[in-house]
Amino acid sequence: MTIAQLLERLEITSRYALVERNGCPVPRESFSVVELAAGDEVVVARPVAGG
Amino acid sequence: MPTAEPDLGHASEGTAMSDEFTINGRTFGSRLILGTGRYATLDAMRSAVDAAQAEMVTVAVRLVDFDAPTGKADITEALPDDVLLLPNTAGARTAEEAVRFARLARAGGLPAWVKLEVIPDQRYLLPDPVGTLEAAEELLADGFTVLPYINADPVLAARLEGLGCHAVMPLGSPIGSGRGLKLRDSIRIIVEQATVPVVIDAGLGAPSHAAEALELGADAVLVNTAIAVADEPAVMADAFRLAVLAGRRGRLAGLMEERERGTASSPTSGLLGGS
Repeated sequence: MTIAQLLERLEITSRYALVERNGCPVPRESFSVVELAAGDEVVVARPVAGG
Repeated sequence: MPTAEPDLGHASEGTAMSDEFTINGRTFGSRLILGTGRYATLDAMRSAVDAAQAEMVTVAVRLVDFDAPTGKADITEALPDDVLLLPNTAGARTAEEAVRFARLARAGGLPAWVKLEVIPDQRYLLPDPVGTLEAAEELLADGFTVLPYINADPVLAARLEGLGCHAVMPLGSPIGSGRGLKLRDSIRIIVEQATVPVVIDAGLGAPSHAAEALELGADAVLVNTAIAVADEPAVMADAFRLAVLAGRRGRLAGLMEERERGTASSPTSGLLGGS
């Protein structure tokens, strides 16, 4: 499964999804090509209100 | 962006009429930057951004909470397309965490700009100068446009400028306190020596505080809580906008020097009772 597919499955369709894979930020351009492997740790964040 | 207000006087062309400032090559007509936190609703936030005529707004970065109904909401969808999103590193307690926030935001498509905050202690919300310096160095080397949030420390501001930071953002008083400019003399020195824009960030509780910051020579202010918690956020945003224009216009016009004692403004000769 790619990161793009994971986001789709998680129903994250907002403008910005911020993704880290195994502690490394993943560029948005490569969401559709980065294949996740068993044991990968994925963090999904987003922009929120803040000052 | 038009910054001229007919009711604020007659500043000449070339000064106030095209009174822009520039951060790392990007020009801003509005000197009022808005934080997006603490608004009751997204609509209220959007109305305030519009009323402020803001061209730059801050956003924070947080994990998606899959259990919360709003956990997936993206605040940027409620913002105008032409404002610059300035991701902050709020929540970072160390330089490493701040760098991580910034890189995550950029990778996800947010601008490679960062309002750098390193705040170790939530009780006081005061920035860590050493951690801020370390994170700034790393982010600058990584190509970010870096706007560090700092205490009003002229030496630290100069050090950060020396590293290549693109602006400095000294606090007026602690975040959310609304107490105004508590370190006027230090801010005056920061402005005097600055070679990059100075943005007063945090602690501005009233429009008059923003006017005062611009009168002191700050290039811009960043306001969040004072507008967000107002009964009428959009009206307060407009009030801050006018105060920023008034303060800036006063600065450009040349403020008089303060004196210890009164000085008559009417003639002291030709008095009716004789001299």
